[in-house]
Amino acid sequence: MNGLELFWVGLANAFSPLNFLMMLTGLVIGVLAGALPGITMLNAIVLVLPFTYSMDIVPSLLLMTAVYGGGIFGGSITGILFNIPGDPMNVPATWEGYALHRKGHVAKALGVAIMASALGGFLSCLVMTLVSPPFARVALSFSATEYFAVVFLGLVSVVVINTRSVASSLVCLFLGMLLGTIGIDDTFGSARFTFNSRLLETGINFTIVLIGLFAIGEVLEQLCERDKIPDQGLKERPKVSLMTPREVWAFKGPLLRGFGSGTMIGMIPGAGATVASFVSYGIERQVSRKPEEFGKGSWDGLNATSSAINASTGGAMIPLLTLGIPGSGATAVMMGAFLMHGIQPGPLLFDKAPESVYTIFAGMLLCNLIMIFAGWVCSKFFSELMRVPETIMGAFIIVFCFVGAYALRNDTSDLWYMAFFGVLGYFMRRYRLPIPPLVLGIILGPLAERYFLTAMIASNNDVSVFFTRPVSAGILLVSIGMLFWPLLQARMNRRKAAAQAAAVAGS
Amino acid sequence: MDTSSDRAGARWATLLKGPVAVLLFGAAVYLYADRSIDLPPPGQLGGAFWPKLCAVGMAVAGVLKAWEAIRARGRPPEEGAACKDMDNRKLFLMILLIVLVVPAIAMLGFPLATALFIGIFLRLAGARGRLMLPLVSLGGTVFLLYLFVKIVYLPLPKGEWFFEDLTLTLYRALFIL
Amino acid sequence: MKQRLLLCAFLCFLVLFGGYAGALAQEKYPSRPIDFICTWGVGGGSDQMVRTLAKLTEPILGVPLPVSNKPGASGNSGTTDLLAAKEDGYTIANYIADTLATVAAGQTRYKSEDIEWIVRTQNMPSFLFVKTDGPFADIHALLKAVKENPNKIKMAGLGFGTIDDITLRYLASKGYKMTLVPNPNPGERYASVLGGHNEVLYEQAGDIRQYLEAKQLKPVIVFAEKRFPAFPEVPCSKELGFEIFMPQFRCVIAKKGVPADRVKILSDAFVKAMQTPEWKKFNQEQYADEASTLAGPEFGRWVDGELKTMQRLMKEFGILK
Repeated sequence: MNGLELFWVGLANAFSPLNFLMMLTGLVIGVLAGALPGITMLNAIVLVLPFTYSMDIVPSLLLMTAVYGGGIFGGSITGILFNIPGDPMNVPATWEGYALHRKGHVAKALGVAIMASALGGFLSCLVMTLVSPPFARVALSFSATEYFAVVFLGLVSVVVINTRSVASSLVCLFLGMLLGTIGIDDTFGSARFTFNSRLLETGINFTIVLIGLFAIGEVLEQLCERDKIPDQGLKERPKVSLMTPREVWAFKGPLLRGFGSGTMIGMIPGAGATVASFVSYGIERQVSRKPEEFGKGSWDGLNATSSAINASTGGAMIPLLTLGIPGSGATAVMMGAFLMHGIQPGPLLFDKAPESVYTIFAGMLLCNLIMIFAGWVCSKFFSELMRVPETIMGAFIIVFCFVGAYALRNDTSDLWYMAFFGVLGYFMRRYRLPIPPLVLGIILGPLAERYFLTAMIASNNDVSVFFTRPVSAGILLVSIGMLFWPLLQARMNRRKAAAQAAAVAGS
Repeated sequence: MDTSSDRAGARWATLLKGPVAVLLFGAAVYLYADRSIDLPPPGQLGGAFWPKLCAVGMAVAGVLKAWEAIRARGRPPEEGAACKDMDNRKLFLMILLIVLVVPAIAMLGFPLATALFIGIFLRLAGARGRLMLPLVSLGGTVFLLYLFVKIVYLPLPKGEWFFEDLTLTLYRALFIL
Repeated sequence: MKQRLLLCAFLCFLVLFGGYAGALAQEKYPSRPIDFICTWGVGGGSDQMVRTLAKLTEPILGVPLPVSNKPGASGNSGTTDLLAAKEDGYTIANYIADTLATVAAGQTRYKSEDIEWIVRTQNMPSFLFVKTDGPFADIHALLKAVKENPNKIKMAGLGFGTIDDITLRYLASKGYKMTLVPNPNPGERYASVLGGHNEVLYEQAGDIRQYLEAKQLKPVIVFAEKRFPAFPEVPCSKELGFEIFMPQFRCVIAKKGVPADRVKILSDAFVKAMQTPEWKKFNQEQYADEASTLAGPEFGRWVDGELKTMQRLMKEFGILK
């Protein structure tokens, strides 16, 4: 059978009632878990893993990919509704989405996030279906040097996004990176900043930092305002309005750019979706025709980043299926599921189980379409929560945060971190320090360090490797360009303004 | 003359106290990393390299911040820059509650600590209604127990000594175990 | 209002206390789920071992064994938690050679005496792998190239101070110097060899089965006293004159102090689970030694021996001062 025939067989299989049910269930579980602060997409995948033991490989893989896709999107819902991103990749969508919410566009913002995520995911799955093998070769040609360059791009894009003060962003970024070094270091095994305490030796988990800073900080700020009567919740039924085809066409630029960067970055191991969300958002800000809207409710930004996060899922599946290399936590669990069923993902998968592979491909494509429906239902459900009084919401958000912190490692000492970062999150708001750079620093800092040191060890401490390898040189140049572009632009604008002023004075 | 220069000095102090603190913090971290982290294996950068790099970055960011502050001097603060007027007493109590619930969860176990936390939190936040407080806190806790312990199999902290048995008994009474 | 609330609370308390007294009366082990800590991440070799074993042991013990992953610090995060729990036999964990190496290096707060060694589940030799279509046909070609270009050939391994590092330093002491490129993430480690960024991979065969089956990687040497049955053509280190045999092992542990009868119940259940065809198939797929199962005091003594070997080599190569 050739590829196309296999694809039709796969599509027919994907429509079987059991597979369809698995995808729908997986999507709902994923979206709910992604949306609840404290329960991450990865928790949800680990959660469904035992249930897949007794199933066939195809439904179990479809269930897990559905949880994966849904979980990546889910955090945008709570981000847009309550300013609390469920996972780090939902942070840019939260900025724009919540700003749009405050302007009264909540229904549309949710709809855009759903549609853009579904479309980005769909397109990247199409890439995965059609051209996996060549893309896999590209992925293999990357070494620690290129990984470092990509992570560096992610770090730079978070710095340039905040225009109010680049210096404040840098301070928070480096603080995050320093917090990320606490514990036993990965490469050399030396203890760093542990002060001989068990609590610090294990290091700080970035999910705790993210949830603490965003969720608990937000609750404290909302509830402790002076003389405020707590909000009793909305009285009318909230709505969710999806994009029309015409609107999709109008935003084709951001959607496609998000899809492109998401798919490419998704293939790179480490922090795929998170880096993709920030990089696509940063790029969009540079090329958008309305850069001034960014941070104050930009439809371009929301479209690009939503499309990118789900596009990274297709990208991440490529090395898993074609090479048997899991790049992220989510794909590592899926690899475990493959192995549990006695199937080795990797180069032989296409020969040994072609029908399963194409069913998974077709299923993932279908899954992204069903996501529009599942996302709409779950968004409606979470919108209903806006009718719950603020105080009760606040109490439960904090409890969820603590449960989530505990669930990461089943360790009560992580609860101390949650409390600490929750309080820190409030004070960062109070003193106008940007939170996202700190979160990104703690997520990407350790990755950047590991890739940098690996590249250094492999090249005998020769820094020039970053610039002699074309891909890494290209990415690094883009990053440096991004860093200085705003400065240059400001200078040119000023010069233009001065020239105009001179011309006016002259006439 | 003296007073005006004093005032100028005070203004400089408020302007630069943040950046200088950042700069000093970076320097301190650098020195501490240099002293406390193991020496690298020969020919390698070692574990101290990256934290030191970050510390230098932090110090540089502090200098940048100072430059930004000096340039922005005299300009009106940007829109949305003012912070909300907070009820500091309420804030303090809530922070205290959030910190205290951590040892409470470890000692009393998750169910008891959560029920207490939700109750006190709602009270502090100014929730109204006579029945609501116990209803929400007990009902919410039972809901969470079913969700996490029964469905998700999460071994939530059971507490210590007497409280561990209490939690186990509660689980049995709710048919969770 | 307040009085009614107090009364309500008091009643709840009474009900619960009654149940508490009742709970004390019953005492049969195991009567509730046993928490099984996996000290490594989801999807990896240890995780598969733990989940397979838990699934097979549940019907024997008659209680669920929910698995929770607690990765970090070479498996020590999970171990520390096990040691913080009560020694009632309701918390167990897995343990592997890489974690034991940190004990040997004196990096841990606990000692091997703090652990009740229940049963060894898998014992598997380590190999060096190279790309099938790469420049090295066999171990002799590799060793020749290493000897001619000291420190130029790169080996992907777990990290400095680990078993991989010890083996590498042993080879260096024999005049074969390679550079260790550490990477704790297995996926990246394999990709770096497949992509040709590093020439050699130090690993156990079960973890890279897919590349072996696809003929992308091939073993060139097994670090053991005998050749490994699945790869009869691959020479073992002993026949080449390298006296270094550090197998990877996986086992189940509890905290020291668990009553002996409970340890016996657990150990018997695991041994029984490991006699099932499912487990045998799993072990074969993992390229584990057929005689992996080892329980009781014999296993404890074996671990002691491994620990002493590690310490001796670490002292010899300057890892341990």
